[in-house]
Amino acid sequence: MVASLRPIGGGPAVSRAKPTTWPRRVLVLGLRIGLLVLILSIWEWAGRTFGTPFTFPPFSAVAEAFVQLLGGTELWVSAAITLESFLFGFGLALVVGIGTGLLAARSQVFDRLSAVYLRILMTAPLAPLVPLLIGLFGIGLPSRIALVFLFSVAVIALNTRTGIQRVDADLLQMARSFGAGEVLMFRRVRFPGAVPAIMAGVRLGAGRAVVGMVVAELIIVSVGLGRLINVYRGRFKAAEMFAVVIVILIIGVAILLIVKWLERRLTAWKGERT
Amino acid sequence: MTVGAPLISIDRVQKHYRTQSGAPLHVLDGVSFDVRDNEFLSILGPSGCGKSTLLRILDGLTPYDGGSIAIDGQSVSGPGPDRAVVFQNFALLPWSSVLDNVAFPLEGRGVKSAERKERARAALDRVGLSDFEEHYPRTLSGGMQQRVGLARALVVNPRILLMDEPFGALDALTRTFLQDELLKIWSRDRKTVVFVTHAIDEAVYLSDRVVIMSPRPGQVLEIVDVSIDRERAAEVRDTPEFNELVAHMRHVLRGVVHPEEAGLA
Amino acid sequence: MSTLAGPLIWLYRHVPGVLTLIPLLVVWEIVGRLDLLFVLPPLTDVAAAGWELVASGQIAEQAGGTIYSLLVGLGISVVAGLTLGILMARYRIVDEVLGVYVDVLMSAPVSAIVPILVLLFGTGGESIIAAVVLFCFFVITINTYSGVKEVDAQLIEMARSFSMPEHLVMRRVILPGALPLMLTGLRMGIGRSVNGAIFGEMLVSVVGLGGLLITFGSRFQFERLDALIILIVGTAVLLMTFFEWVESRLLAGRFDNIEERQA
Repeated sequence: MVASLRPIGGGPAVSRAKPTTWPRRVLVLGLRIGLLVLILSIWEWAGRTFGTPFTFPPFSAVAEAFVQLLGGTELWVSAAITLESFLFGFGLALVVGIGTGLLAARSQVFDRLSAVYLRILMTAPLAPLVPLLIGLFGIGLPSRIALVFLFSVAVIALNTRTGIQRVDADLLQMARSFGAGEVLMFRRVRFPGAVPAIMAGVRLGAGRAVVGMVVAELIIVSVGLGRLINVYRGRFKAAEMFAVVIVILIIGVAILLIVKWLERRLTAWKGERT
Repeated sequence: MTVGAPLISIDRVQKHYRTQSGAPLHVLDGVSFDVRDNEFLSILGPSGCGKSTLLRILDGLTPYDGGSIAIDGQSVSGPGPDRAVVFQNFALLPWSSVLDNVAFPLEGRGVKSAERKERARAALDRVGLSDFEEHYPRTLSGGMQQRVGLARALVVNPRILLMDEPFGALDALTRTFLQDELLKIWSRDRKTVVFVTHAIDEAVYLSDRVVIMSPRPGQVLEIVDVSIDRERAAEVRDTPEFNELVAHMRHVLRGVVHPEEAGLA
Repeated sequence: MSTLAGPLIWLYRHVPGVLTLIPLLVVWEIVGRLDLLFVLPPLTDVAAAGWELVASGQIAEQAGGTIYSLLVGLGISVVAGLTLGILMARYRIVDEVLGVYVDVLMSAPVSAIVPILVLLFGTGGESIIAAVVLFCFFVITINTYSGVKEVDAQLIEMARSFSMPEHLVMRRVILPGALPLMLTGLRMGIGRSVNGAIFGEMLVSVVGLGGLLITFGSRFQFERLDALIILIVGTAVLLMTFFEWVESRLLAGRFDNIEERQA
């Protein structure tokens, strides 16, 4: 059977310790909340003592700004614009990434040719490309989509390729022994077997796409949440700035949670295997 | 139903692999024997004697380098609808349900979906797993998974059943249970079975004849007729005839196998 | 044999692709000469600009700042990350309480916090250092944590059965055992720190290499921009590849294909 190998570009498999008995759970929960409260309190105190409303607002100010922003329309409109770049960029990366990965698994020639470019996209800092993209596409949506795409396409392609290449040889032999043709083998053995690896790549790709989205937002400051941050910075409204940053963080975490959930659903057949 | 004319004839078959140093590694060296129609034949030997390789050659999955193999007069060139394999590690598709797994061989043969399911259900019924249609392999025990593997092999109604140490991955208790199940299922239509194993008592219990093979290079040491009555039950293991046969085979194998090369039951 | 194997295999897989760069460069030159693409001046001009940047010391000047921020930020992250990772792995309560937060912060786009850092620390090197720390701290922590956790429990038990004092157990059993993953964490941290430094500088846009990129871009000086991009990207890729190779050499035989551990 194929051992579960780590996805390319991913971190280590973390087996988090969890409290089991009820007294323990209460203690842990208490400590967690306590820690949070402590940090927020320090923030509050530091904000009041050291900061000015221009540089370091206390937690209460940020909380207030956050609630207000949620009530208004500007935040939601900007968020929608920001998400556009993610959706199109990541969507494109999925199509091109999975396609490239499948092709690389099929054809050794293509695999060797594409290896360099994928490696560059995986390991190089891509932020330097932003001025180039601006020169090519201007400061609108296309350049942001392009950046999101470039951030995420390589990890999806590499994991797809590896996933297809590493399908259980026993199963392939079994299918061949029952006379399955190439098409059937791909549809019922190779591709389903590769899904866990592909989904791992998709998950990692989503994470990188989010980073790309944020980098694009903050450097190509024309529309969306990036623009909002700049606007508030210009008006010296630090609390609002903080609030928008928190919104971006929430969006990022939410996207990743959704993708992780999707990954779990699609690999439900795997069972408890570490 | 009695055993018929030779169905499979294996004649001086050779198989070797090239090692890194260039010298050939002889896995099979002049193996010859016949398998008769409706016969249950075991190939018995220690690990590494090439018996699994022989099975794969019979199925047409591996090419051979010398000699000839013919099934019903025709030379073996690739997998065919007349043979089906049961694998040691079950080889079930973990992402498909039990029913879909059993129906899998029919997918490549242009059988319509409804008919596939019908035949799969019938095969599952034969192995006693009708209630587990919608289950996924990971929820089944090893013994049940292998029964699914058996049902899958039966669903194509092959003429020859090739079984590659099918109970090797199971514990001793499950193994004995499945041996009886296998005999029960087999006795219905008495397909030709080629059964590979390293367990002597298993070979004797199940077969009409046992081909004993030597370790690398694989050669036929002896072909033993299992003269016990075909209607076998668990008690037969206690009979002197049974134990004599087992002792004889152990003796034959001990002559060529060093104690370290374990793998004997 | 094995000493050569690594680079050779790498070469074998990548050279065909690298060779395709040559026709690409030719195409670039043509595109540039024909003035087809605004952002692609002829390759020769780009090369010339690149040479000038290096020779004039402009790159060295700015790169110095970037590298300094990088090293300081990395240093802080390593110390803090190793400490936290080990603490979380050794003391269950720390793991249970902090685990959630670390996981959330790992998956959150921390690059969004950089504007706040700039607000707090100003437009100087400090905010860049803070950005670097933000980018690589969590990766180092989690890899250290996993590394320590995955040390064979039987070995620890064995050491304790010989009444070995705790600090020796740490030194002779746990840390060597955790080393592979710690190295991975370090390599990933280096990769991210480069990202963090340049991104931070681009945001601040007046310091370091990131600042140069913005400057060239805004002035439409594409020969210089392209040259700088190639220099930065090229150096980063070579650096990361070098570290991957080092890592695979140090961990020879212990794990599967190095490809799985790219970041």
